[in-house]
Amino acid sequence: MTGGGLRAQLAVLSLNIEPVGVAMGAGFYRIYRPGGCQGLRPKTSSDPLIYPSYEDALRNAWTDVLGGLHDDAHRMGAHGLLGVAVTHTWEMSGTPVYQLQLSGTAVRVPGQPPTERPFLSTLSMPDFLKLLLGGWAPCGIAWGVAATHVHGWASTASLQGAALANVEMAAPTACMQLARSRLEDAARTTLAATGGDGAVGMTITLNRLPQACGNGQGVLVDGLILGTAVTAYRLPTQTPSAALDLARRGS
Amino acid sequence: MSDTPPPIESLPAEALARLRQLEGAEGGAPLFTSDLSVSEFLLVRDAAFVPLGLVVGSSIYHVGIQVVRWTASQELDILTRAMYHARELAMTRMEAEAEELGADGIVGVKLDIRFYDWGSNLAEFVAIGTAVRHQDGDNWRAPSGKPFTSDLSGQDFWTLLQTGSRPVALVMGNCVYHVAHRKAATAMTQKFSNVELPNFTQALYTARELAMERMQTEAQQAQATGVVGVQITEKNHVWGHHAIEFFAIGTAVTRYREHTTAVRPRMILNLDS
Repeated sequence: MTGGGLRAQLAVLSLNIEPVGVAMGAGFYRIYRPGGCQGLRPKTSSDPLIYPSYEDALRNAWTDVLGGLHDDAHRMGAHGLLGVAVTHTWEMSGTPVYQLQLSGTAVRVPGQPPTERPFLSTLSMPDFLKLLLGGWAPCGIAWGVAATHVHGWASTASLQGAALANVEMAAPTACMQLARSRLEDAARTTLAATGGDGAVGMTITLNRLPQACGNGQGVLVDGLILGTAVTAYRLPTQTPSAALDLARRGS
Repeated sequence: MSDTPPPIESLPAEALARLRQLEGAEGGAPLFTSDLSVSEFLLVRDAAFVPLGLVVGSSIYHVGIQVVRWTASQELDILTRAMYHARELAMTRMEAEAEELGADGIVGVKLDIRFYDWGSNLAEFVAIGTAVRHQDGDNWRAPSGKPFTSDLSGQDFWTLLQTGSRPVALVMGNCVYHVAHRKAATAMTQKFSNVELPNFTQALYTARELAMERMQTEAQQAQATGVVGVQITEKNHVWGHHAIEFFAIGTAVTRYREHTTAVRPRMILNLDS
């Protein structure tokens, strides 16, 4: 059983790499999701706030599930996982429960002994093929989580003297910038751990949730960054050339 | 079209620390991050550019309020200025990050707007792209001396360079316009007829032309010879049916070499469809 479709599998088979199955890692975690400032005070009242314990809990959940995914791939004798997909949801009735599931297609090179640490990758099989032809190889997932908060009064235009005027909202802007910076910091840390030269296909997802502080106008920003670490391993075997796709209308 | 271009502001401490690490300034090997797809990454590398890092600029902006006459078609200049200024702030911050990395340019820029339900008239403007540098150290910056910006994909960037042109700057123009309401009597008499609504037609035409004209003015200021990949979008955002924003954006380009290696496409028959 594999994911990714027949054509995608053919792309990998053309490199003498065979799919061996779908590997999965999953977990349910009871995580306290902050509903306000929680007595944590930033340096000044308009500075954005970081939720270290909430971030840690999310980070631990991700580390745990990624470890499960690695173990599953290793058990299958895979050399790597392609097309790792993420499903994560919050069940908010009662105590908040965070559900995280990662799955991907395990691949191996026939005749080669299994590795201790199969590589993980979010790339599709055709992208994997292109990358290899270009002299690069995936070597892991670069990821990170972050959670920041902005006070209710600081995100309310009227309380910032801007009920009618055009004005930039400094505190929410700083809060979002801080969340993105923390995400990229975290991604770079995990990227360095993979030994990669860089990461491609990075996506940043930020969720904004209302919070109780400041008359219900506070905001929790929690985010995820995800991409594939890559490393150069040889010179490109093929260089790009322009092609005219005859099957496409209007080409 | 802005009143005064915003100054390049100092970057937040967290952003500076992140960019220094991308450069490998803190003892570690330089690492790049990018939102380029695999195809884009390989083509950018083939064009002799190396990705340096993901660069982001954002601004959360309170868009002001403007009162207009019910039956008047006119530009809502307060809203036009707000929507332009916030985009410009986001772009400028993204460019400042690229400058800090010593980039020659930014490719694949995406400019996004999201109005929030947690704050009336609050919108976040985000500009994100991948900073790149030419591997041979050639100067590929814009005539202004700043890194070039472009919303072209990696594929389009590669193709553009093959044809002897290069990106100079991402140029944009906008216009928020109020479309007059019809008088009640007119609306009643036209209720069952097939008729053109000239107030809408004229308003859309005027707004689109103003946005395009402003984008072209920016391209001229950037010393470009043309604009490619122009996209014109029309959105109401949160203002209802009678207030619309026309937004025109494209990549201003100029020639960088006269003798080009003509792209000769190979014909392929795609068996996928």
